Amino acid sequence: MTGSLMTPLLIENVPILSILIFLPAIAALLVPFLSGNNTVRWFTFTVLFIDFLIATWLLVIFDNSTAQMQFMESKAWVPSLGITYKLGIDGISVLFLFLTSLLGWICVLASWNAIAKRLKEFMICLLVIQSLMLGVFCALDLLLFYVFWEAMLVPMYLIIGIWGGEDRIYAAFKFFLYTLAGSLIFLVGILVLYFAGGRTFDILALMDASYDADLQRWVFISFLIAFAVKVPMVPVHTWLPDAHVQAPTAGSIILAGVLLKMGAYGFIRFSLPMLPDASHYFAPLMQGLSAVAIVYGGFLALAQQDIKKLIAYSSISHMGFITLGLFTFTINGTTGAVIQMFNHGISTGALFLFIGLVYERTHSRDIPAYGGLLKAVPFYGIFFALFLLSSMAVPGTNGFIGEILVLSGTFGVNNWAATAGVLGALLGAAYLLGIYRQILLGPIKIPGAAKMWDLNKRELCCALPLLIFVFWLGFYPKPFLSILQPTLKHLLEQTLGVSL
Amino acid sequence: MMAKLVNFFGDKKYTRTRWRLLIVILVSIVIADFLVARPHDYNFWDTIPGWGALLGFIGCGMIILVSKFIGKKVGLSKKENYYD
Amino acid sequence: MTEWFTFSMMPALLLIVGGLLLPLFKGVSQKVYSLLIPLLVIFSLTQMEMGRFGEIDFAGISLMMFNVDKLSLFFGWVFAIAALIGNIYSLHINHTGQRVAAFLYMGSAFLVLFAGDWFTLLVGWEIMAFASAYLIFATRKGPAVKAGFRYLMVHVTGGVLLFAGIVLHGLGTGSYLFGPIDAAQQGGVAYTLILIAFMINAAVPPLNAWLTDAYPEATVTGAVFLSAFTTKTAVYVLIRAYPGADILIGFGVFMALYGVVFAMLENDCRRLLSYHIVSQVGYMIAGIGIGTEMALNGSSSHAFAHIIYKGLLFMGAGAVIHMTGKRKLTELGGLYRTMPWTVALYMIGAFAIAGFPFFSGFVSKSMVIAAAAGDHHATATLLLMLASSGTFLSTGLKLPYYMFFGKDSGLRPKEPPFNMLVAMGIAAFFCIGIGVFPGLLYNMLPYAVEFEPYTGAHITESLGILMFTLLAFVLLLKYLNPKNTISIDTDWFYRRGATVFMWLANKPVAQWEQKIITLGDGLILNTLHRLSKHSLTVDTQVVDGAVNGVAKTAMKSGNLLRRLQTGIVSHYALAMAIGLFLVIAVYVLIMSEVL
Repeated sequence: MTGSLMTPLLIENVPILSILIFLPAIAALLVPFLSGNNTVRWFTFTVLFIDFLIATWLLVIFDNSTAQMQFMESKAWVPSLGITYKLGIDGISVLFLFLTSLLGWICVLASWNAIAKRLKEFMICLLVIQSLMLGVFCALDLLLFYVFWEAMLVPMYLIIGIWGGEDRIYAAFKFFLYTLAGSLIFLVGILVLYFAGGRTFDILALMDASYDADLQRWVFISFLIAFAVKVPMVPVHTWLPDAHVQAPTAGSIILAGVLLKMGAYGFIRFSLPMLPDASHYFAPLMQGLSAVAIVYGGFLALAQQDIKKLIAYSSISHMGFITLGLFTFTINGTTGAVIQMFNHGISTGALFLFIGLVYERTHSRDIPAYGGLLKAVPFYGIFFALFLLSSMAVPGTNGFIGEILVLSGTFGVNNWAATAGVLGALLGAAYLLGIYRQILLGPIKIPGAAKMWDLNKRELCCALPLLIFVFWLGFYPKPFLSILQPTLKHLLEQTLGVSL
Repeated sequence: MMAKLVNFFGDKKYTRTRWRLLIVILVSIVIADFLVARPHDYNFWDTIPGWGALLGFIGCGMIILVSKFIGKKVGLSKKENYYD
Repeated sequence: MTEWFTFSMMPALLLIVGGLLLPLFKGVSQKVYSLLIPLLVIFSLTQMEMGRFGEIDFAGISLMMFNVDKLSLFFGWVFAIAALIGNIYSLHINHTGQRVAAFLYMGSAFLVLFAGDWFTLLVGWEIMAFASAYLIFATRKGPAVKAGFRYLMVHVTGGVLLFAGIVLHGLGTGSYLFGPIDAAQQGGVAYTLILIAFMINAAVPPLNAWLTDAYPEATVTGAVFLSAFTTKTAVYVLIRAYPGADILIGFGVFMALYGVVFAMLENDCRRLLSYHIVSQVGYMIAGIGIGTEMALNGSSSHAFAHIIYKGLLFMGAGAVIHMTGKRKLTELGGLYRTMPWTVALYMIGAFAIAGFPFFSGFVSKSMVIAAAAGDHHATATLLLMLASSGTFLSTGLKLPYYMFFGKDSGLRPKEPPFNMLVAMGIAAFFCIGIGVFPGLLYNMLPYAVEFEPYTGAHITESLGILMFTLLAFVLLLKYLNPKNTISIDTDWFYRRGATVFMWLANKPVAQWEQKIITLGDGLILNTLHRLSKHSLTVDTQVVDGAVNGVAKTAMKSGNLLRRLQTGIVSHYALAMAIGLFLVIAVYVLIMSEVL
């Protein structure tokens, strides 16, 4: 399996990545021909679960010793323009393929009863967006990446716009237009890089090329705008709270679990390795914006009464940690950032899942209206509490590992930002414990809450895998760290080594 | 059995007995203080007999006074529902 | 193989795993099980070997999880005894959750005790905070829930500070092994942060309010556990990490008097005892600050004695609350008639805390005071002796007088359940036993002991202080009537201060956010609105000009979306985007077909 370092790794010439990516899309084409809502649900679930198994298998057979891209596929697409259909994964992408496919089938389970009207269209959207997200993580051609990146907007827009809450159109459009604006500027940057890098869109080739410092800065800014909207960074973050509040549960899980990570992934895949000098130049700015996001998001979360909005702002705060870690250019900071990306997907995905579960029962997102859930539905309460602890980065949970790595990377590079990080952690404890107190403890206030049913088997199947990762990463992060290590080391070399 | 012992300290009818017992104990302590050997004398008071007694009596009074003062004047004693 | 066995026999694991398995047992078997585990822990302590073990590589950092030496073993013994006593005391409880929480709490305390590296310590520290918070929440009443929340916030904050300090310390020294923090780093950020975190858990004023706020609200049985573990774990880590840190002397003496003065103001019997925890820990902290071998021995032995007699006092007060439902001194009195055993056992604890000869407090407290005198800290010595008087005054005189004797409240409660009396009896046994045979305790101390508690001078001095305090008490009795008040402590700052903080979050920050939202909405959406109107014509033509099948699909989805829009923003922008995407895809598809 480990050939010489220059040989891309294939499994007997089977294009496993293409299968992984396009399986859900092909399945989406078949959905209109199915009859019966349950058939549709089971079909979608099975397809996504198979996809998940493929992603898991990839994770297992992944070679930890090299930073080279693995399972590569390459096919000329439009050679005259330098566009290739090129796929490949490294330590970071394989982890996110795993996360995305895990959240995929969990979303199907979570939407089982929640989505009733236009079920087929919904499942089609889920399948399509799954394909596109997986494609983003595998793409090694910049234009291919862009196609996947842009195309994601449509199904997400539909998910929010059709199956969302009362104000869904506004939220969906806002999401769409903010992201689109960023992406169009991204396209400009891509084209500039294309011309400067020798008329090729090949990501690996573009990484190897070196560019004039001024050019780097302009391209960095164009990339920054796109990624900053996706992450989201302050001040272009305002689409996120509305999108989360209006989106259906599955939408929120995908949004928080995967879509936000794309922004950070963009920094990792493009800004840092391809534009190292600009990255260094803008590092203080990025660290500053991250610190602002951490504290600003934390304060706003504290002020929220709507629980989905609260978690949305806490996401902004958490993503601040991630961007901070990335721009410290230390191995700890970068590792911590990637681990936090994975963690945030798990923990915040789980939180939105649980909020959705209780919303299904009570149709209220208003925190003061709740109370005493620990008494009414104890299993739910305990699970929810554990995920809150994970989000709080309590030792023993996955969040702790990520935060400790990010902070140990930041202290020494930018102590003010690190202090902001500590303040952010405190704010996090405050609003998360606040949720715990108001929703889980105290007297039961929601009418009909006494008749609420506790977690059923389906919901348990959604929650357990996520909980397993909370504690697995918390107590034994080694396997995850060893997958990332060579890739991140290589990334740092690219970022630091090439400097004028 | 224990009840009898405790009752001794509680019931009113034993008050005079208790006072007598107390005075006997107090006096014997002061006398004993004069008689004991004093190997370590790090501080000036270690050599004064009856020092412990004095400290206890005056100290206790001081503590009561200070706590009352803090409670009333500095305003730290508030009604029960201050925080609600 | 042997290392695995040693590993699994670690008290921390026994208690934590044992606690998690507890819900599997029900009824009587659960209660029996809850006694077996502490006995197993005591057994494992007898088998323990000294040394560091449990080396693991955690994310590139080399850690040594466990460290067993005389100091940690010494504390381990008293924790194990407390665990057993606490569980006997709570045998009558049928609430599984409380038991599990108590086990997790005790287990994590052991984890901190035997921690060889900072991360293990931090994990134990955090679990302790959450598990103990549960014991406060468990009463389910409003004030308890609120107090528990404040408790949790304080401890989580402490945990975050500890975390930051550990990271800085590790970065600075390159080692994460748990040991003394270099005095050369005094004034360093890591030094201060970790010290503050430890001081929070030790309830050093001004960081003490959480204890006196939360402990009185805990369950009757929970409070017994609480009084034993959190503060003494903090004392242990301070002994190990900051021996001889001079500021601790000042803090310790201040604490000792602070606790006593506030205790005099108290009406709630358990809050009074809580202030005493603050006071007694002050002795321990002062000893740590002095730093000589005798002082550290003194702090350790005082901790040992304190856990047991404080537990006894909380058990006694808890028994009264359990049987009468009342906790305020203004509402109690005259109980001696019907609960003589409780009174007697409580008084043994009171004599112990005061430091009467032949009780445990005497052999430990006098060691600390002698250490202070021996190291030439005259003022400290004097003030600590003064605090002794105050201790006896509030715990040994005021509280029992107004609770058991004094004005008759009319209540006639019976003796508490047998298990509670047995637990108190065991504690009382130790209180007297250690007092009469101090050598047994002294042999376990980390450093060699050259202290002789039973000298004539010590005895007459102590008796003098105590008995004359009694005299003053009796003479000044009429000034001491308890009143129905609460006293304001440093938690005023964050109880009132929290509202300021929330105002900050709600008003200025939220208003700023609203501005950004309006800006974004205005700028971006309006621009795109205008753009989209212009590009409409171009766009529809391009879409129409594309390959048939693709165009039809585009129109269909366009129709679908047209049904949705409410006119806030033109849907043409959307069609434009779809169009763009489809154009690229189609073009590329066509081109690739050519190849």
